[in-house]
Amino acid sequence: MRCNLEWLGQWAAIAPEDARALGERLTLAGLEVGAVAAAAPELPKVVAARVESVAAHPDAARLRVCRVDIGAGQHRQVVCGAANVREGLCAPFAPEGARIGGREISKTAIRGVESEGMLCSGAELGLDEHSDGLFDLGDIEPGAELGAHLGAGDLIYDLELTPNRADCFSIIGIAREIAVLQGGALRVPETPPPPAARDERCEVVVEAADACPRYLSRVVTGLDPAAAAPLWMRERLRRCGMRSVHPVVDVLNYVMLETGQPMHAFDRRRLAGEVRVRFAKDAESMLPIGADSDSAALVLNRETLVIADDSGPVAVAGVIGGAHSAVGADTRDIVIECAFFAPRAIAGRARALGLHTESSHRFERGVDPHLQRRALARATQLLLEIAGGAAGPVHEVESAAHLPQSGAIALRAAAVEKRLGVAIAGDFIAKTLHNLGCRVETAEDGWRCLPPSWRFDLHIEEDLIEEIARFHGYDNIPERRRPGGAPFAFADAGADAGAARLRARNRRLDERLIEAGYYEVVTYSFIADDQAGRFNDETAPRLKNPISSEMSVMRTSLWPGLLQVLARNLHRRRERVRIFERGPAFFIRDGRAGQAQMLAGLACGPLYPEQWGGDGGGTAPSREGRGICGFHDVKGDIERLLRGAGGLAFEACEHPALHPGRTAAVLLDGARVGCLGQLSPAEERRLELPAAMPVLLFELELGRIAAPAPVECAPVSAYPAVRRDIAVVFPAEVTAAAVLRCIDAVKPEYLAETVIFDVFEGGDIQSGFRSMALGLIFQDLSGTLTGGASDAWVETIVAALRRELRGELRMTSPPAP
Amino acid sequence: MQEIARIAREARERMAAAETLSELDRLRVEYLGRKGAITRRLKELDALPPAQRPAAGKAVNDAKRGVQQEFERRRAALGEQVLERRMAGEKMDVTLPGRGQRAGAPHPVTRTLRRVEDLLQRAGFDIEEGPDIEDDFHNFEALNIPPLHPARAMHDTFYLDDGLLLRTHTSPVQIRVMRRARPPIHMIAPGRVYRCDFDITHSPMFHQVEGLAVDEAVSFADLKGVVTGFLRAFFEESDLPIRFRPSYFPFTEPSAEVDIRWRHGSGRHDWLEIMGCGMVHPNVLKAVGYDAGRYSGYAFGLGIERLAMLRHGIDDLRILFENDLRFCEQFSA
Repeated sequence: MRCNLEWLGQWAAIAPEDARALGERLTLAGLEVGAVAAAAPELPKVVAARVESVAAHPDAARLRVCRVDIGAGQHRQVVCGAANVREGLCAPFAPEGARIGGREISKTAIRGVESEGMLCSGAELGLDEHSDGLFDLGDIEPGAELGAHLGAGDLIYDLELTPNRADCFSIIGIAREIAVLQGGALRVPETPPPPAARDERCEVVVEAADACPRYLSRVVTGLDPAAAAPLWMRERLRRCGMRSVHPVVDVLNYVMLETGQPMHAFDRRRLAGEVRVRFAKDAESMLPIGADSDSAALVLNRETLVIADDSGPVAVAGVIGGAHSAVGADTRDIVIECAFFAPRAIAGRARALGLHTESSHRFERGVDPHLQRRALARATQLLLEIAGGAAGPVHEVESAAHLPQSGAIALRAAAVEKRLGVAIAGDFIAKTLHNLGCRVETAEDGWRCLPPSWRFDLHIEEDLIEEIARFHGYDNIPERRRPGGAPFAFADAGADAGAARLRARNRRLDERLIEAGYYEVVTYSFIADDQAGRFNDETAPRLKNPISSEMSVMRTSLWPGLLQVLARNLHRRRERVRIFERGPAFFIRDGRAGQAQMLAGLACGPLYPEQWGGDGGGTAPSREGRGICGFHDVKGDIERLLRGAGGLAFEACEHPALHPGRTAAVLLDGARVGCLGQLSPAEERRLELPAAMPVLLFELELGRIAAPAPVECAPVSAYPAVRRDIAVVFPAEVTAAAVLRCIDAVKPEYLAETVIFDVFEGGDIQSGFRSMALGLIFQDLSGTLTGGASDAWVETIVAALRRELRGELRMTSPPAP
Repeated sequence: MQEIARIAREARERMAAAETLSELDRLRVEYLGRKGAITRRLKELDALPPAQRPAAGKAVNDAKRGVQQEFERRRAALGEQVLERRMAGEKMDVTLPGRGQRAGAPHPVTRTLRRVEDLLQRAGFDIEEGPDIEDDFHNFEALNIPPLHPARAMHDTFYLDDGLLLRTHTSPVQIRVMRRARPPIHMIAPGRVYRCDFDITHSPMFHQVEGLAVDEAVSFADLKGVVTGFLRAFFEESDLPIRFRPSYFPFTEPSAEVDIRWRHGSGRHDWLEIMGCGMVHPNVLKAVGYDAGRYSGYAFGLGIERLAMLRHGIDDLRILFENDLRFCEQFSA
């Protein structure tokens, strides 16, 4: 809502020195003023000029040579290209030396004809964004300085109103707030109702009384089609953001801005038969104002309240009028509609039709249901002044039962203090509510308060307390920090203990990955449709109204987002990418949408950042060769990540997006918690990654990983351990996991740990076999082990490996401490 | 006698001039070894007449001790030289960069989220979580936003096929908590939220922390105390100017927007909207079955991206979700 100081000043006393600060005061009272701007630039030297004659330019078809009267008996010759230039028109004239839009006007010859200044449009003066001709000053004395007329001293306030403040979509509503801020009440002058000069009426039948509890109409005949709204009215419209279009429309817009009551005018001659207020029938349609006959008509349904005549809908109630019955240049007789439509009958209708109008904006939020008579009287009075004609009587259809009823609200003095935490004087409370328009009566413990009909947001005690707080000033409410004001519930100790422990664990997981060189990323929860099925067989919840096809379904895996981040960074010539994300993945199971917390990571490129002293590639060596991150490097990251989370195991498995020979399920205590693997060559091709390095991915479902219980401390042996190294040749298909399982099954006494410290094939190892070097560490808590004792244990283990896995001992080390 | 003194002097001089440990050792053998010049003289003492023996013995022993001392001294000196030479050869360029893995970094949104959580947890608020996919009841109706309420237009909701929706704020978590627990309640709900809006200042997904306190006699003054305390702690500025101005949210009454006085990069100061808050609307308390006459509460909502951008001097919201590693790297501190 835009409003200007000059107009507000008619309704509320505003001292000139307070005008700029008023924006801030309104903001602090809850009417947010986004901007305060001058209504017009200073326009020194620019004066009103009347065009006395218009002649064709001898040398240019579209230019005219005009003689203009600039007052005080002076005349100038101006060459002008505006289409609306005509004899008798009064327009702004910038003489030689005036500055317009940053350039100085000088005497010049245009195509050989002297021009002694410039006739200006609104845009040229900086008043409008666009203009399609000279600024029409209406009837004005030539020579008048224009600064004052066009608002050089006036301010425009741009208000960003919250949806509860329907009453402030008008000059009067805002002026009332200003008056209350100054401790006074708004004085509303009575508008004397103009007498009905002719007994002409338009019959209206209201079929939907609950949607339209009040409908006023009035016929005005004999309007002067050549009339135009006066400059002062057009200026107020302009400063409040509306364009002057037609005297009737201008008057109705003006009264709407002033009072908040939207109105509509029909061309009387274009209405056929009886007018009805009813709900549309399904698939009824109407061509709206402003649309030409080629435009698509609005398709209505049974939810849409319309005004209809015998031919069908002539207006969508409270939203927009129809093109056919709209007033036009030749309109002489009109029917003015001034109604109260119930907010719930209008809410959402404009949006459903793809429209948003000044009218719908106000009706959706609530128009004062007792405003219609006054507004219609005001409009009639202005219209007769401007365009002449004669008014018929007011025809009113009212359904009192359906009008909003405001009940009295009990306001307890104690409740004000309790809710705000500050004591506020009783007479301030009573006076403020009274000034806002409430009927206030003193009651035993406070007041009884009947809110005014224009307030749709005052229903309960708390609503009144907010009004008091607004005018008391939020900044005058103390800041209280009570010891124990927020009592510690220690949720960690109660039923939420598990959740608190998981949150702490999740933070630790993040930190471990960060230490391992991964950067955390945050990607959108929605992904492209064609990504959804590729990474698992979950069904993705689908958005009904996505922003784009790239974000149309909920992700079932975090990998699409990570791969997108990878691609983006590789394209920016980043060679090493290590990233992770912790967040929800979504699914539909058994017809219900759900979500699970995932931790997913991606690694691609050199294992280490580029550094000196490594192998030829400038990086530290890796077992997979050439320092490029491979499956087992990321597996190591997961082992470190999940250390302490339970019995961790990996099992070869298959995954649609991963390399079939390089994919493993991650198991904790035998249960699958996630997956790890190398992106399949097919997916790599599909993603068109610029670099040919393996992409390793992992994803863990955090809900399946128990938070670690408090560590139970075990004794530490004071005695040295004994280490025995053995090298055993196995058939190539024997996995490391099988070897470790076999050793574990033997359960040799005192075996504390087994490490695999080398694996190799080739050399003197027969093809189809590989050698595994194992370190066996024996430890006794109660004494030193002798080297000799370990011989027997090693033998047991070697025998088991031979028996179970066809392992042949290649060599064994002597006992070593 | 003079002979032994001469031999000793010669031995000391040669030892002092020895350049290497092996040369020095050869001299030790030459003079002090089993067949060394001085050892030989020591053995010859037996052949002297007894009367001469003590004086000659002292002379030889003195000579031997002197040579021995010179040997030790020179050996220590040469040892030191050797060590120094070795260390000189082992000199490294200590300014070469260190090697190994380089730590990554948390995302600035997570950093900020953690900071907000930690500060508010210290003030006694417990963390609660809820689903991103919500129903109309928890996201709107229970929060006093009935269908067709104009406030729904402020929310630009994403809907799913089955009538569910993506939560537009984390306030539904408040409803879930209040429906299962009784006052006193002090909780915050961090999480992802979604709005169907995408431009330079709007992301279709962003993060919020909503706070809620419900107890007997909770007032607007308590709300102001928590909000101002939090903001001053978050921005580490004990005199940060903060103002509360009336606003509108369907689920609070009275409602407020909170502005802080912010110094922009250009040096210009102005009021910057930082969060919304208010006293819980009685309809919300009733919707969860609380006695709205007995209990009151306050709620506040923080936009995490906003806080992260202010704290880290980020001026384009979209960069937060691009995850350009050159951006991410900066947060490893």
